[in-house]
Amino acid sequence: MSDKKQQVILQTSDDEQFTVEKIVAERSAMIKSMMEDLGEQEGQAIPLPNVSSSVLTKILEYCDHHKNEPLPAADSSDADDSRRKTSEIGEWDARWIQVDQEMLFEIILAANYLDIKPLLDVGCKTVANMIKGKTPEEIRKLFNITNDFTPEEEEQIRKENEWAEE
Amino acid sequence: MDNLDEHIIEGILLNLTPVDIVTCASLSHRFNRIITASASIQLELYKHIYDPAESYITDSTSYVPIKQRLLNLIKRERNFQDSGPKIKNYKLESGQVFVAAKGKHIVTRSRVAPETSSQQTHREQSYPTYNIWTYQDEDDMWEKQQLRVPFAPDLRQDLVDLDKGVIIIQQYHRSPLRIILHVFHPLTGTLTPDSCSGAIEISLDEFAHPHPSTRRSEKPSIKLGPRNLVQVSYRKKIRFYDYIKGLLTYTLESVDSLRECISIGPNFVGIALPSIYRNVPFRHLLVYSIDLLPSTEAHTLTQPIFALRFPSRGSRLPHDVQEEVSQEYALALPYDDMYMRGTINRFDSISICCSLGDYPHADDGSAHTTPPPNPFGADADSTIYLPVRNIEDVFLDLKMGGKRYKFDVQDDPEFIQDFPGLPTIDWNIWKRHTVVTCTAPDTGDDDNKGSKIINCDQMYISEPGQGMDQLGPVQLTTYELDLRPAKFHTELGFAIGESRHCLDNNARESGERDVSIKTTSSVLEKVDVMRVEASDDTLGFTRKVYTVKTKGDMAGRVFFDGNKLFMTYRNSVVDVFDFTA
Repeated sequence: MSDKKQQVILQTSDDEQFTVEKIVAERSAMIKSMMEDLGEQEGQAIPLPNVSSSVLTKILEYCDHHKNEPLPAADSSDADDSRRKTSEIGEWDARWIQVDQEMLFEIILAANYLDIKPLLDVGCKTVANMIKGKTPEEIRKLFNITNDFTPEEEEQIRKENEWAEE
Repeated sequence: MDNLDEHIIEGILLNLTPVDIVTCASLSHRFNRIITASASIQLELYKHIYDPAESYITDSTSYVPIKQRLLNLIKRERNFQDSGPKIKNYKLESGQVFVAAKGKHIVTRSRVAPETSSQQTHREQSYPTYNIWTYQDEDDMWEKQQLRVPFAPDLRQDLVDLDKGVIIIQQYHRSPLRIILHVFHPLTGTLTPDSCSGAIEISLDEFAHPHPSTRRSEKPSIKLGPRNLVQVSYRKKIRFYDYIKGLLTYTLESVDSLRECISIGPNFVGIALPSIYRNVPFRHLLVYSIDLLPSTEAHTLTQPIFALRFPSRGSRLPHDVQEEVSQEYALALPYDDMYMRGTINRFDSISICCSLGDYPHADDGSAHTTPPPNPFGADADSTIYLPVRNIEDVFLDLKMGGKRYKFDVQDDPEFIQDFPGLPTIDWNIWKRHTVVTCTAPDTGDDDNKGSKIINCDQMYISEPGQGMDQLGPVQLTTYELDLRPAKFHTELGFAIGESRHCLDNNARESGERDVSIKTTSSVLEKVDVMRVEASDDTLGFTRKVYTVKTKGDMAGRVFFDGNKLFMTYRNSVVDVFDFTA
C-alpha cells in the first residue's frame, strides 16, 4: 500500500483542507464511517461543516497522540460505567485540554459531532472538574448561566435538595 | 454552555458527585429539567442512597450518623411531595350520591328523599339531578354539568359507562308495563334534558314466556353490556339493545328468570348458574358468543358455545403451586388449600375474577359466621383471573374442532338435558389459564398521562334527630402520573425492589418473610407481590415474586392493577412500580 492511500483529506467549515493519516482520522467514528461510504475515491475531501480549522487542528493533535490505542467499542456500556466511576484525566490529556472555555466547549461539540467518545469523555470530565465543589452562584458566573428561577422556585429547589447538604 | 446538547450536559453531570448534581439542579430550569428527567442521573442518586454497595448509609467512614441519613432520606421524600402536586384530594358537594368515576370524569346524582304527603304535590321537585364533573387541568377544578331529570327515574341501577361517555336513565311505566331507556352523552356538548340522543321503549309484555313464573310486579334487571349494548333481563329472556341505534339486536333464552349476563370481553357473554343445580358440588358458567346469538326470539333455550365447570365450594390451584406459595409465606390458614375461597363472584371486561376476599358457604348453604382471614392481608383484594383471551382461545379451539379439552365431565342429568352435547371444560383444565394477583379497584383509563382518579370515598354521617343519614361529600384522590416522582419511581421500581437492604432499624430481618401485602405497618417494610402466570405453553405455571420496599409510613393502601403497583404513604407520596417493564 502506498503512503497516499493511508492519507485522508478533511475540509473544515472555513474551507481549509487538512491531509491527515488515515489511522489518525479514524479516531473519529463519523469520519471512519464516511470513509467507508466514499470508498477508495482518491483526493476526495471529507467535508466537516461543523468544525473550524482551529478546533480541528487541536483535535488532530489529540487523535495523533492516541492513534495507536484501541478504538472503543461502538456501544460499550462498560465503558460508560467506568467513565462514570472516575473523574481522573490522563496527564497528557489534562495538559492538552488546558484551553480557554470557548475552545473547550468547541472541542466538546466537535468531539460529539465527530463521534470521538474518549475525547468527549475528557471534555465532560474537564467541565465536571470545573464544577466540583462550587456553589450554584459560582457555577453560574463561571459558565455565564442565567438564573431563570423565581425566588419561590429557588427556595423550593433548595428545600428539595436539603437532603444532600451534609 | 447554552450551546451544548442536553445529552452532553447529562454526560458532564454523570461525572459529578450526588451533592454536586443537586447543586446543578438549582442552576437553571434547563439543568433542573435535565437532572430530573435523566433516568441515569436519578439512578445514580438513588444508588447513592439505597445501594448498600455504594450507599453512604452503610459507609462506616461517613461522619453522618445512620439515623441522620435516614432522616435526610425521609426529608427528601417529603420535599418531593412539596415540589409539585402528586396526590390531590377534592371534596365535591355534600348530599350527592357517587355513581361512577373514570379518568377525569365523575358522575354523582342528588339523593332523592322518600316522598312525604306534602311533597307529593311537588313531585317534580324531587326528581334527581345527575352531575357530571370533569377535571380541568388548567384551573385545577372540577367543572360541573347538570342533567335535571324531567321525570321520576328508576334509580335501582345506574347505567353509566364513562368509557363510552353514556348515561342511560330508566323510566318505568306500569300501565302498560314498559321501560323507557333515555340515552344521554354527557361528555359531548351541552347537557339538557332535551339533549337525550335517543330513547328505547321496551314493552315488557313482549317478554312472553309459555310458563311465566315472574310476578308482574317484578322489575326487569337492566345493565350495560359489551359493545354498545344494554341488556334487559326479564322472565327467562335476556334482550340486548343497541343504545346507539335504539334497536333490539340479540336475544337469549335463559334457564332461569332474571338471570343476568356478565360481559366477557367484547365478544362473549356468560351466565353463571349457581342456583338451579344446587345439589351437585359444582357450578357452571355458560359462555355465549354474542355474534352467534339470534336476533329474534326462538322460545327455546339458547345453547352456549361451551361451559366452564368449577367447584361450588371453592376452586383450587395446582398442588405444586400451592405448596410453593405456602412454603414461601408460611401461611396459617383455616383451610388446607389457600385458594379454597376462590369463588367466582365478579366479572369484568378483561377477566373472570375469583375474589379471595370472599369465602364459601358452608356445606349446608349457610354463610360462615366469621370470614376467614385473607392470606394477603386484611385490606388486600386478591383475585384469581381467567383472562378473556383464554376464553377466546377455547372458543377458537372448539370452532376448529380442536381436542385440547376433555368434555367427559358431565354427570349432572339436569344439565345434560338442558344442554345436550355441550362442551364443558372442567376447572382442572381451565385453572391452568388463571392468573393469581393482588388487584386494585379500577384505577381509571389506560392513559398514563395527566390526572387519574385512583380512589373515591363517601361516608354517611349520622346526625341526631335526623331521620336519614346524611351523605358526606364525595372525596376523590387523583394522581398525576406524568409528574416527576411517579416517573422517577416507575423507572426505578426494580432497582429498589431488588435491594434487600432494610432502611429502618426496626424493619424485620429480610429472612423473616411476611405475607404478600403488608398494609398496616407503620415502619419501613417490604411488599411482596406475587404473580402466578400461565407459562407460554399454557401447560404450567411460572410464579414470580417481586419484593418492593416501602419507604415510610404506609397509608394502608396498596393497589395492584395487574401491571402497576401503587403504594400510598401517609405523607402523600405514592410509589408506582411498573411490572410490565
